[in-house]
Amino acid sequence: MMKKKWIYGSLMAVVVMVSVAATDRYFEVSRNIDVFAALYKDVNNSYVDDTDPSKLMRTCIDGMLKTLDPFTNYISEAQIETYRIQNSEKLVGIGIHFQIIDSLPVVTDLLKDLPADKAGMQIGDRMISLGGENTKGKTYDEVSQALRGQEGTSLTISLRDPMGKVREVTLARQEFQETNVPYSGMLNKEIGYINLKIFNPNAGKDVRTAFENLKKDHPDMKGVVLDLRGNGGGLLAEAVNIVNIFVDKNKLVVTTKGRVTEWNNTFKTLNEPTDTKMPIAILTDSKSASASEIVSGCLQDYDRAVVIGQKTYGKGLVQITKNLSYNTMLKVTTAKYYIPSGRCIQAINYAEHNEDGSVKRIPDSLKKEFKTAVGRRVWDGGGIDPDMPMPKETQGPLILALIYKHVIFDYANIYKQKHATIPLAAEFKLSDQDYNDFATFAKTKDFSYQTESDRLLDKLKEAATEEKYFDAVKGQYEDIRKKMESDKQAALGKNKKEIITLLENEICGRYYFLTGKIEKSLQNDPMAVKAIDILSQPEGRYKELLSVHR
Amino acid sequence: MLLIVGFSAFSVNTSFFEVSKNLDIFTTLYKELNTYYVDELQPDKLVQTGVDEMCNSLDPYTDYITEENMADYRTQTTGRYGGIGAIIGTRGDWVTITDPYEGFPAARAGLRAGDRIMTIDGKNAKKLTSDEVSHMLKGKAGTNVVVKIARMGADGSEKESEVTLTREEIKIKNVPYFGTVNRDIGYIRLSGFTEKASTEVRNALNTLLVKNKFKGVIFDLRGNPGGLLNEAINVSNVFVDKNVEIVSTRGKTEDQNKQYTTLNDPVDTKVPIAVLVDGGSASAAEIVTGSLQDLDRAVVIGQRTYGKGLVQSTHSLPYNAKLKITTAKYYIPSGRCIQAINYADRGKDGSVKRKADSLKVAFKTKGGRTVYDGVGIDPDIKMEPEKLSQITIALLSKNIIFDYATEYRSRHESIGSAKNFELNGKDYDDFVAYVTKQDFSYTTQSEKLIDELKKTAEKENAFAAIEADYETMKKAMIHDKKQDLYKEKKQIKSILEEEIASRYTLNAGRIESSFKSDEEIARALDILNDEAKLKSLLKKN
Repeated sequence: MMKKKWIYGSLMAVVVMVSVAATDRYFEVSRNIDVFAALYKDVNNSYVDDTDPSKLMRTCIDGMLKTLDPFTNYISEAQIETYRIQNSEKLVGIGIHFQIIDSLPVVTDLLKDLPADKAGMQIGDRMISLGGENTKGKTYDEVSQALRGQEGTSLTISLRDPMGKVREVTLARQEFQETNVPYSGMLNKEIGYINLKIFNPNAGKDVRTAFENLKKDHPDMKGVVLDLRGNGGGLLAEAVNIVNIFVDKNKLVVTTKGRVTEWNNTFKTLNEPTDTKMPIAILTDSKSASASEIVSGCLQDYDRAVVIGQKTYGKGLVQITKNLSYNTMLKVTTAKYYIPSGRCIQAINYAEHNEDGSVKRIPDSLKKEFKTAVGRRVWDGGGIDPDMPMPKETQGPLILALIYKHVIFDYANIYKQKHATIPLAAEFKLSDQDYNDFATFAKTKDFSYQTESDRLLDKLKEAATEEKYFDAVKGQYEDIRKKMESDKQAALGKNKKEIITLLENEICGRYYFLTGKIEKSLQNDPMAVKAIDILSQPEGRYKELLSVHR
Repeated sequence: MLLIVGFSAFSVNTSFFEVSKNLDIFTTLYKELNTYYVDELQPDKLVQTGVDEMCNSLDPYTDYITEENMADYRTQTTGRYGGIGAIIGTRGDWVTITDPYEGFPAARAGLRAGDRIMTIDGKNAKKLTSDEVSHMLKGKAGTNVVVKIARMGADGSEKESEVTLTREEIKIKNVPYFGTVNRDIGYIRLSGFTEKASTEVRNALNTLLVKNKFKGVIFDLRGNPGGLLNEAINVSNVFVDKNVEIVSTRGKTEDQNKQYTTLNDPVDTKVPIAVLVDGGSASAAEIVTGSLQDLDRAVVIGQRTYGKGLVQSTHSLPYNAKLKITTAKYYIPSGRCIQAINYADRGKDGSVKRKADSLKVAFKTKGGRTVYDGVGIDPDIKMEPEKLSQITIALLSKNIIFDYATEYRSRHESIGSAKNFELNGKDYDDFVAYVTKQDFSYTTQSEKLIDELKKTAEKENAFAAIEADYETMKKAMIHDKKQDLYKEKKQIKSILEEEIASRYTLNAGRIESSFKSDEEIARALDILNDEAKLKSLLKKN
């Protein structure tokens, strides 16, 4: 019997095996649900202390999802409201950013022409009460919750300004969205610049308008810089629209592929471009992610732009949201996306982990080579590699301390109080007198900071004492300690140039908002300088970077 | 009254609804995930990870055991397998016997620590892992295994020989050793609490007391991680009267609340006892220590114990899986619970906290001495734990002490009594010469840090200013191997003596050899020999 049937075997095998695998899987899933249900009930019934069933479930689910990737998340009923707000492009509020500093919410950024700005709120204002309620000790989330509300509802805020004066403002909440393009302008007579901060609705239109205006106002413009540094992404469709400004209609931009082939999707440009010829430079850094990587990768694959800066983040995974029971949701990674050369730029392979459980970057040896339209070599598995790599600017311990201890922030706030106006951002300069003033101010702030060397010296003392060496080296130890201390004292002088740049940027932000801050920072921006250099040689360096080399 | 009953019924219902609601969410989420996720998932592994995380959020003892892990779990809890009765370890390309157990096949056949396993049942064992070798040596009790070993002879050359061993069920003894430290003081070590623990302690004390008239007995529970609760009660019972409560357990449900009292006649309730403990003494070991302290029956010497006051039960789940779950806390006679970490109270990052000393609650022993809950058992006499020096750690981990002991054994037929065995100055010089010949290096913590300091200071542009001082400092910190061997001679010599003694009389030799250098034993001897001191320690303060 068996032998007779066997002749069909090889033909049947495939089909049978597939269905067995599917049944096995189905069985495995339902068996696990059974075991889990019994275990979960028992834990809640028998555990020595009272349990919190929802918290236990949260821990279990988070534990499970953690092994997959950081973008696959469970959103509980309690979180769903916050999640919706965070994930809608439309916000309702007063138009500020804030941080909790010394247990009070402090305005750290104002959005131009929104209620807070119009009511005369200032960066550096401490919000001491909101709607009559004291804010001391409130968490970031609690304050953020209090600032939000229905469009048009009013809110009274008590503020204490940097000089200590208290005042009250009443303002009406308003709907707004983060600006896609906070700044565009000319870096010099020939090179334009567009800063894209986020991929919200209309990002494509905003970039297109900015680009068209620059072209119109500056007929001599020879090239444009598109700055995607720090841009964490957003809407996929807007990435397609932005690519479309620079490349022809009907070109492939991105393909998404998942485990189920029927769900695969292809996105192409749909409109007429604005300009397919003018040289473009794209600036990226390690925080340029997702939609930013589609734009930079796609224009790189079409040899349409030179990418300058640091390797991008490497997020090539697509998520969808599924509703679960009891008003909960699952955000789950269902696909990877692929740019025109065919590469996927996902940098971390979440399916495998290192032995210590940490995530695994895809090693260079496993990266596959792809070709751009003209045949330049590019690789998958690690974000977008710039055509012109530039080192990341690092900040020394003093600068970091000045930033994290809010010394620069506080000084800019006081400066704003003392000066009603300043020159245009492009012309604003901090005088030597101002810097001395700052140095005096900084010394009154207790921003003692520990360098890594300080920390190691501490540890060394401990180990040497334990291992009975310390007495022999006590003299040297104290000398080193003293020298490192006086080194720190001298640091304010040594880092003057860098600190002045930071102060100028920060102060411009006080008068001209984000726009002014960006405009000012471009003056001391090595990557912008490099972009100008390359774009100014369309037949030289620019062309060379976009050609095939052997 | 009615209100309370009504209220509690309500709370049970809410919790029941919460549980089934969450189960429903889990089921939908788990199915969606297995359907839509970008990569193929492993459903078993996924649940295992989630459940492990959930159990860990409760405490480290609550565990999910899948069917696959059951076999391991059984040997872990019962300690039985058919084998040859020896610990093995990898030395270079070969697996080597490192510790034969007394009375079991390997030791009876004359196998020694240091013997290299060349073939097993004719199969070459070169480059096998110790797991692989262990697997080959184990099997059904009563079956034979033929092992060819290589051993270094007195002349330094290696000789091979073949032995046939009959596998036996290896029941590891709970009392690996008992005997006398000197004429006046007895010694019993208890290293676990499996089924026969109390019988073994009972027999040990009986045997010792029949032959000797002691001033006191040292009961060594250091490193004892605990085991069965009933055995703890019966072990305490060896030293205290019948019908005394040793421990009670309390849980969330009524059926978890139980009292445990001694059921048998004691062996001796008078002979002074010094219990030795350390940070590795846990659970059942703490019940014994704590109950003897609470009943003022023993002086406790050493370091604060681990602090495990939680009781687990094992429950069956569908598909042969099991859940080991904490169902109760236990309380020793003074009424204190010795659990040191409150797992229900965690920091924002989920980290656990040891109970602060300021929050501990005072209790009274039977005689009125003050003792505290929430921190494990605090010894009556606190001793600093011995710290191994870097060079000692290196000598141990590179097996240099092990190898020297092997060589020593091949050159000396006997060492006399392990208690009196001592390496003289020339012997130690010989060891130093041996070490110097070995290719072995170690780095002190100071050396590691000073190199790191240079790298970091360079990165922070601060090195130039400190370079001169740095170089002087570094020179003073470079260790000298030979110098360190003499600097740490006391520690190294005693460890070496113990290892050598174990080559002649196995574990007993190791323990007996430690008597003369073990500071906690020395302290116990002082106290047990000083009747007045002993009395004052156990008296109300």
